[in-house]
Amino acid sequence: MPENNFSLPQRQSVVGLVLIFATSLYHIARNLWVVVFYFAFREIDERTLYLGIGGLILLLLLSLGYSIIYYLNFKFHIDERNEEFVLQKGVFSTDVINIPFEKIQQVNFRRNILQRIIGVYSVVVETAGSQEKEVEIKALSGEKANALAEKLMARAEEERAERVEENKVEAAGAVPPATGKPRLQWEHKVSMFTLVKLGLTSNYLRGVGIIMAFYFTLREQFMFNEELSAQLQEPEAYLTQGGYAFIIFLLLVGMLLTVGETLIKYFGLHLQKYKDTLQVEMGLRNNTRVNLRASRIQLLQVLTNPIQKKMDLYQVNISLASSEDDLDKNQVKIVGLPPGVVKQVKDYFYESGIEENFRISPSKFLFFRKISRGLIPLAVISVFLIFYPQVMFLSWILGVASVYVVLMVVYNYFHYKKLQLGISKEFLIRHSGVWVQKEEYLEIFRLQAVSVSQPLWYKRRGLCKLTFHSAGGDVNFPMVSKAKVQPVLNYLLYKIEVTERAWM
Amino acid sequence: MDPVTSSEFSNFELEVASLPKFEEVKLHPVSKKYLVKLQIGTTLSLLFFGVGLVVAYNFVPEDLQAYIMAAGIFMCLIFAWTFFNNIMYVRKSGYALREQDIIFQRGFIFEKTTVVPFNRIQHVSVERSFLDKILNISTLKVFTAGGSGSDINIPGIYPDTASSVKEEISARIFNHA
Repeated sequence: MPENNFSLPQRQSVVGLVLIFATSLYHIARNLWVVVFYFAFREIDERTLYLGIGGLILLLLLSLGYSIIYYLNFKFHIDERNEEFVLQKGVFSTDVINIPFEKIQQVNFRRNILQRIIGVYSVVVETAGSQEKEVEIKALSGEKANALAEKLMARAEEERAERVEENKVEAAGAVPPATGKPRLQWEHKVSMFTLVKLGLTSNYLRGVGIIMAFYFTLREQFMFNEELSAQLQEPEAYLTQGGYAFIIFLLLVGMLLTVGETLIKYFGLHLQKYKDTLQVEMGLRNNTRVNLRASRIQLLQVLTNPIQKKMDLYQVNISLASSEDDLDKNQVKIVGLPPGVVKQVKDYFYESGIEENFRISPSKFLFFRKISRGLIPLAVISVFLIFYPQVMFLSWILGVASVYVVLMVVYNYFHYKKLQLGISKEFLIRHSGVWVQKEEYLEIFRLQAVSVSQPLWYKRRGLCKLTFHSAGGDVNFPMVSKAKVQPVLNYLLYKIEVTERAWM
Repeated sequence: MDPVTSSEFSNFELEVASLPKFEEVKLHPVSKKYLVKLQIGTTLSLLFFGVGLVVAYNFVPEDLQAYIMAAGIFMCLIFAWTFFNNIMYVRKSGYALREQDIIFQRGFIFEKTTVVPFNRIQHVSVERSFLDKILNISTLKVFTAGGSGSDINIPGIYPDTASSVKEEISARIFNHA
């Protein structure tokens, strides 16, 4: 279609204006709701009321004007000659962002509830550069969004292919524009029921944490209003009275919240595998669609816990190259997968297959250190008891302490036993976790650097800690015998240095 | 027969024992002038805290002066340790360039060695602060795509050395790209 060529600067869909205005209204509302609340609880005279309403109307008009100018000034196009994507924006100053095709990492889609209602997509262009991490075009019709994403991704791939295999005559320039939809190879949908099961078998403490955070922010917001804060103090009194009931209540709510959060976050999780991309779509409140290409996967994690394992629920975390250090935020998390699908995903990312030749275990001193650290709380408590011997019954303390010690030792024993580093010619595989079992796969040629840390007290025992730096985050391995890993490290460096494959 | 290779490696085609060993490389030390820079910095903060404590000593009621004294002694210990640590840090830090990678080792209590292969370096830069200019040293910064963990900053290199190392690395990156 000629109008979807994107070679001329163009604006977003007109409905985008609604979106911009609504977003600015939302921001105003979020900043002003406390003020409104404040007025609602007080007697106010007419003059203040009129002034307030007048001010509000002025504010609305200003933000409407701002939104219109913002909409008019927001333009984007594809510059074929300079091989870049260009975006101009700004109300008071003009900001021009140029993204060369080769810097484009990913083109993803995002939709929040409002965008769904008015039927537009956010197109997010992620880059490898460090200054401008991502560029978002907030309102494009589905058709246009698809066309733009396809075009940008195709361009980015061409650029990459040209750079990587300069000598190999690949008809990169002559690749015909994608005609119609590429063929679907396999797909997998995660049902609501699976998500509920997943939520029920997850860690509720997160849910409890959310309640706590919610409670504290509420309390902070209401601190200025003494009546309300007095009301909100009550749960604390309640806590001291009926401790157990409250804890059970908290856990129940935490459980509900966890299930709810899982449902909202992963609603409609849908994996679609095409020839050279894996498309992942999910989310109720914020619907995202991500295209994953095997060539860009830096690090892969597979997680499960014993209950979820029984129910065939595995989680796959995928790290792409990012300039941020925070690994967690940049991961694409896919949950509730049966082992078969996990295998399909792995097979796509790692065509030659994952193998493991031998494993390295951490030194037994790791176990001893964990135990001695676990004993610190006991030491603190016993010091406390020496000074205040009348506080509790000794027998009671001894009972709790011995149960704690046994549990701690057992936990740390399994922690130590499970922690292993598998090595093969092409892979590093880190196994860990007592309850949540985690496997991390790292292709050796994608390593960026290797660090060996050796505190003074490690040196005496000939131990060291390893850090493998990848563009998708670091992988650590603690307390191993230096003599044992040295040849491995030399092998890794050799592998990185001889490889001609592009890590990205 | 395999000479030294451990049996675990029998699955590998490659003879690991024949690989170059990064742990045996002799490191170039960091310039002693960097120690001067570190000590100046520590002295400045010592002065800052010292003046603060002296002022506090003269303004607090007498019964609290003992606490200020204790804080002063504690501070002296910490700074003495920092001075010592600076010396050891500079003595233990060093770098080396091999044909394919750059090695940087730093730290006294927490010794850390990072090896960055040239074909994984994004860019290199040489930086000089005001104090660096007076002391005639500079800092060589090597950036990778692996985040701040794998970036290395080598302090206390003579500017001439730094720029020639930078040129050298840039040339080698170019060969790989």
